[in-house]
Amino acid sequence: MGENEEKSSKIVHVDYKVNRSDIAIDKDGRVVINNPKLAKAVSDVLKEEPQTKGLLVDAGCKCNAGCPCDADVKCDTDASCGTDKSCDIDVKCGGTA
Amino acid sequence: MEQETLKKLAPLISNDFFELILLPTESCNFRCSYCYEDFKLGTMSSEVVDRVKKLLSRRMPVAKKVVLNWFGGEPLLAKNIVLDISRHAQDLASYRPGLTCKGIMTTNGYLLDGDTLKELVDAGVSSFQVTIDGPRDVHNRTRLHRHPGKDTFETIWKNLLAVRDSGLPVSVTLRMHFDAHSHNRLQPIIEDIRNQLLPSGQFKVFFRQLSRLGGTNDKCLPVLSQEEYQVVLDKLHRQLGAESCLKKLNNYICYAAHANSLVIRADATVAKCTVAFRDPRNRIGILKLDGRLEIEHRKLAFWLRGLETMDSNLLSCPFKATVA
Repeated sequence: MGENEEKSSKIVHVDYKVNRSDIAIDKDGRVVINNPKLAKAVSDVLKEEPQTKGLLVDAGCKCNAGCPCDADVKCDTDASCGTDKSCDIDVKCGGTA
Repeated sequence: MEQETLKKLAPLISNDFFELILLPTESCNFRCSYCYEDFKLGTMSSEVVDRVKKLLSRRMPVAKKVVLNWFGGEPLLAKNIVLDISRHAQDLASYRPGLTCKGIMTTNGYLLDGDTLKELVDAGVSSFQVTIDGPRDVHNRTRLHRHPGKDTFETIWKNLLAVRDSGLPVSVTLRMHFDAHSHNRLQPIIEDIRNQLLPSGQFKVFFRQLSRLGGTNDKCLPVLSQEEYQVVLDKLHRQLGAESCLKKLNNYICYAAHANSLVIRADATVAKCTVAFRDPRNRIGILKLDGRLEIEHRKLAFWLRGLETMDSNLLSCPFKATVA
């Protein structure tokens, strides 16, 4: 089995069940996926950078809420994540701090 | 979740793709006997047109494929609006290599003359769906002009021939309606289509039974049973030639089930479905003055519930799956 085959075989199952409330449309008409696992899985399938405004984990942004949690980091402003990796605007984590 | 399921789901929620189904006017020059629309909202004001253009200006820079799907009412009654918004979108796309913007129009074809066709193609509208209900005598019985007595078939056919003669790179889906009475009377129009239109390579035919979609004459529509429908459909495909027919996919997913597809009505109301206009669940939000959307996510979720299970019924028609 080649490397590519091995990689593809690793993402056959995604440990996530879609919930319709995880999918929203923002005021600019973009689809927002409010779950990092789903967004990542979609991104992998489409071989693209996630365009999930509000989901900062893949954009390299840091949560500045001060808690140790690194999950479900969400932007609390109108900034478009995925475009500005050095933003220092207010963000908050959606996980348990 | 299986990888195959994910592959089906991803395009429905990807921001690479964005579809706006635009109703530049909800007025119509026809009064088809089976129509379900009420024509009350009229035409988009210039202020609503500006809202649409602002939305496109925000959304298009983060998309790879944008589709403007013109619907109505009869969209060509608001041709200037179609051209204005389409040109704006083409302009936006021209600044971003890799972004394609495609225009599609569902029209009755009555106003689709040669000059109009060229204007539309120049503005990026190159795919059309035109409905015919049969040969002249059959068609004119159901496809009535708002002003009685007009031969709508003659004008539409003349315009279809103009499409053919234009040589323009367009694709036309001829939606051929039939019912329990008319399906046996389609042979003459099938011959005309085969001989006069198909050779240009621009036309395909989509045979479709009339449906009860909420019009005032629904009870009078002579509808075939599902079994009869399939038999008739097979017969019509044989008559024309299967290679010239478009068929509804078994795994069809309605635009209303896509998270990246929205309907903008003439009054700036945001909807998901182009049939259930009178259902309050289909009023999911508003396109505001600044071109931003205000969406009621509880209502949006109703249309997206097929994404949870990828259930084929919920995906092929989220509305019918509820009322059935």
